[in-house]
Amino acid sequence: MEKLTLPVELVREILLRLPVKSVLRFKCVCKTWHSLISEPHFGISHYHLTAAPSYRLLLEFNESYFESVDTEPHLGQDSSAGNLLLFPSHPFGYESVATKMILGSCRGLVSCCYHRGWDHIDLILWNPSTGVYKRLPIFEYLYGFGYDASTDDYLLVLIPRLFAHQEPKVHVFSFKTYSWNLYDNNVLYSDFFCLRRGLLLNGALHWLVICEDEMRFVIIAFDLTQRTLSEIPLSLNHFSRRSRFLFSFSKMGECLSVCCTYPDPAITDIWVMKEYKVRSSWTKLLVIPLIYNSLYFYPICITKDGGVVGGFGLCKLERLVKFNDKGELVDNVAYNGNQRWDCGNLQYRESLLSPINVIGDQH
Amino acid sequence: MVITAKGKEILEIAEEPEYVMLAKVEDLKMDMLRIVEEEEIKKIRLKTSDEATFEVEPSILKEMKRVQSLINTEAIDTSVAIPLPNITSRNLSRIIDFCWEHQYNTENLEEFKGRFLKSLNHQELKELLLAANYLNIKTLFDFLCNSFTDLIQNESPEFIRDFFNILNDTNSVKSMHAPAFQGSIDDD
Repeated sequence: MEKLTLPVELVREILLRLPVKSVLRFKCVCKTWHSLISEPHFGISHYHLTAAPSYRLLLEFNESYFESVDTEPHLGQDSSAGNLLLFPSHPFGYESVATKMILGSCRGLVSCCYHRGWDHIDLILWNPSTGVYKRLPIFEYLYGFGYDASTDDYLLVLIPRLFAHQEPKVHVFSFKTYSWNLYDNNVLYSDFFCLRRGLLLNGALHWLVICEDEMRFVIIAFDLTQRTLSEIPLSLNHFSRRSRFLFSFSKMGECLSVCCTYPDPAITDIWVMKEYKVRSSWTKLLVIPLIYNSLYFYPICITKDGGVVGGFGLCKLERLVKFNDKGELVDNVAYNGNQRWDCGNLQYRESLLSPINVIGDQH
Repeated sequence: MVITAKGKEILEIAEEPEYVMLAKVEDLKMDMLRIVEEEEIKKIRLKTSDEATFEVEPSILKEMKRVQSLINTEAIDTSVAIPLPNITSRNLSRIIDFCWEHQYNTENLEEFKGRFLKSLNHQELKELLLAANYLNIKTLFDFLCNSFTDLIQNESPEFIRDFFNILNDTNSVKSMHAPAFQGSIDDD
């Protein structure tokens, strides 16, 4: 019997339901499939139809490459779980002198930059799954990357260091209109000793900062739709009474998370805010023993079975580890990070969305 | 001859489908009772490409959006069987089976779906997808699409070409060795 040929509309419906990895592999099946898959609307439909998104961990590998790791299988054992990705090249060949920094990810797009000195930043929007990237003109300073669903617009948020002579403002760059907008900054803080990326959750970007006048930690949130800045209280004495100090602000699944490190016995507690903005919902997720003579544990992401992938090290990532949901070490891989621990790695969702289409038409 | 199974009747069918043979006597009894209870509900007759006529109860018909819209908008005379020239009796009985289980079998639905899928070869799977698309049955369509993805997601492009009956019109040597993860770098 002759094989049935399915019409292209039905083939599209099937392809839309495939994981990102398979879709990309099938690009070379034929010309029709290649153009079908490359079409921007295909990526958008695929993104919305994906019921169980897959996530990967992006790790700096060396000066030119990043490694993309599947954190679900054992770390470092299955060679197919990791892929080397060539980092988008710098326009002027500054790779060796410029510091690379990952600023954030949303909807499968990673925003990263080349950082030369304090006021010279070249921004790159990159889809590590497809390899497509878009380079943008130089920005003076930047801080967080997010998406406003109400306007279908990607946003860069920058909150400059607070100087006495300046009016406090939040700077938001819209990729759609290709312009900067200013919003009031009604929250006073001054913890800006270094560039730090915001965590995207519930349509807002979050940072852990020190409120200087009261010497307390506070989480500030910038709502990407409302464009307002607000504080999320952090009942510090609730969990860090004898802590060396509170640090390592991260996102564990869909919860904001902080870590407290204790000496003797050397452990790090991972706390998560189970219910968004509910102070009483802070819960201790895991206790991580500080092995390998490490001073700190930096959690990076959570695994499906409730374990945690993170790193040991002083200020750079020296060892990539995985703990199960009981706080027992499952995997560990020696790792030689070059960047500050919170700049050289990031969890991103696999998607087919293109960075090319986020820029407004006239630009 | 009238065969009754699972609340639907098949009239004048040329070939007995396999599942009828397999249906248990107990099931038939239960179904007879149900049919007696539902006797007053109006059934619609559908005629397949191989001239078999199926009587379908409204709850199943509701799933077939295309037939529904035919009845509602085109004011078709429902006393005459509606012709479905693209669908064979074998596939229609499978479709009715699926819709029925999807509606009434809340406990072992996954088990049923597994058995349903196992009974189909690739060709039949494609036929059924075309039929589900034609009749616009969302549950079956989604189920079949997802079954296709399970079948193909770990396969090679060569397998895919064979599976979908596609001619390789790409510059084969070049595309085979292109790294999948780099894609096209578009940077203007």
